[in-house]
Amino acid sequence: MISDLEAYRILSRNPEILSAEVGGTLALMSVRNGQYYALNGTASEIWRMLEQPVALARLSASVASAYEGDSGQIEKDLRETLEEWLAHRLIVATPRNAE
Amino acid sequence: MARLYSFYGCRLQSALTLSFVPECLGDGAADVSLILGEVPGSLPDPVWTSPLVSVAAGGTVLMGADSVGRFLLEGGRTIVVQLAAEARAVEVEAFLAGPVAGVLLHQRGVLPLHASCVDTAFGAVALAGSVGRGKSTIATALTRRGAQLMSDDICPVRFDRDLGPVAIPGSAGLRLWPDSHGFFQCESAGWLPICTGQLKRIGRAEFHQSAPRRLRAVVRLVADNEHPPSIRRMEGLVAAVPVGDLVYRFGVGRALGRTEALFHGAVRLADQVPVFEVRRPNGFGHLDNVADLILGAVGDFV
Repeated sequence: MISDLEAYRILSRNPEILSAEVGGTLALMSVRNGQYYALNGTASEIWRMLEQPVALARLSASVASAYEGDSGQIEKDLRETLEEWLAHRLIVATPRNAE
Repeated sequence: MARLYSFYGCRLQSALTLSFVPECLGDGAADVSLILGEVPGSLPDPVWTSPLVSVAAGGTVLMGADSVGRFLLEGGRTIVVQLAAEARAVEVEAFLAGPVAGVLLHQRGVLPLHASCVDTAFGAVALAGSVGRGKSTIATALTRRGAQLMSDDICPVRFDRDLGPVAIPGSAGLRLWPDSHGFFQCESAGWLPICTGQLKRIGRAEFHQSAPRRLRAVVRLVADNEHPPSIRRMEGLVAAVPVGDLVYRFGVGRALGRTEALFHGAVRLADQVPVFEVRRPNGFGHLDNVADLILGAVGDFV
């Protein structure tokens, strides 16, 4: 999955994922397989940043500017989150030349 | 002559006489027309089928059962019925006010909970759960404590700008298995088999609320034969999912392209109304305790 992130640069929400707020949590549902996911505050914010397709570099910069802390650690955490989301098909990655 | 009924929030002009559904007072145009006519035995190229239901790509739905007949639902506005030769009126009404009503609500864009609903001193309480979880039994237990039945098995919900989620009343028909029927000492007269060969019976609820009520709580019923009854508040995502457990005939809703609307409806409901999980053993030994738990928890949140 790391290679996916390296090879593909444009990230966007999978259109088959529905999202809605419930009790301060962001709830996601996969239309395809009926799986549900709950995103916490930080993950919810990243999800909102993905409302429009965004380059990985720009997303990293947005997250780094939104949160205080070690930028290297923030980027590492972001990549882990995105890799997990790619694995669960919550988001899709498209090649850079699709920019 | 066709009569006008108040049917799960719709004004239904029906060529069939209904006994568990209140008639509409006054004049006014019908929202839905039920007429008698020829209904095909199948739909061409259905996108979804089950033993009772077939959904066409355009949203037309064909429903039927051998002992009742066939029902063709179009656009949430028309129901064409071709009755079986030996169809009994009570079976037809049970089918109409049950599966047909649920599909009609989907076609009309309403959120139909798979729940029985009672109007308590605190407001409406929906008792949700799959088949056999005791929705009707607990609803009956609550009516014995002064609540009024609003609907059995299907609870339509609409979102009011001022009140929030509102429960819409349905039929006064209550469906009970023989053991529940005996436990509550329902009189035999007037309680008829819901379907040929079925043990479940339908009769008129003693107390029926026919006006919409603000929904104060959703209670999700879970069987647990290992522990005494308990109640807990469900919060966040778990209160709303699986959506298919909360929504009546979710598969039909999906086939009608309502997945997103139903997901958002369930989440919105769980965000605006407290959702409780009641775990209880099967049987009747703890019914009083369960009723106390539900009324106590709902009362604490009102």
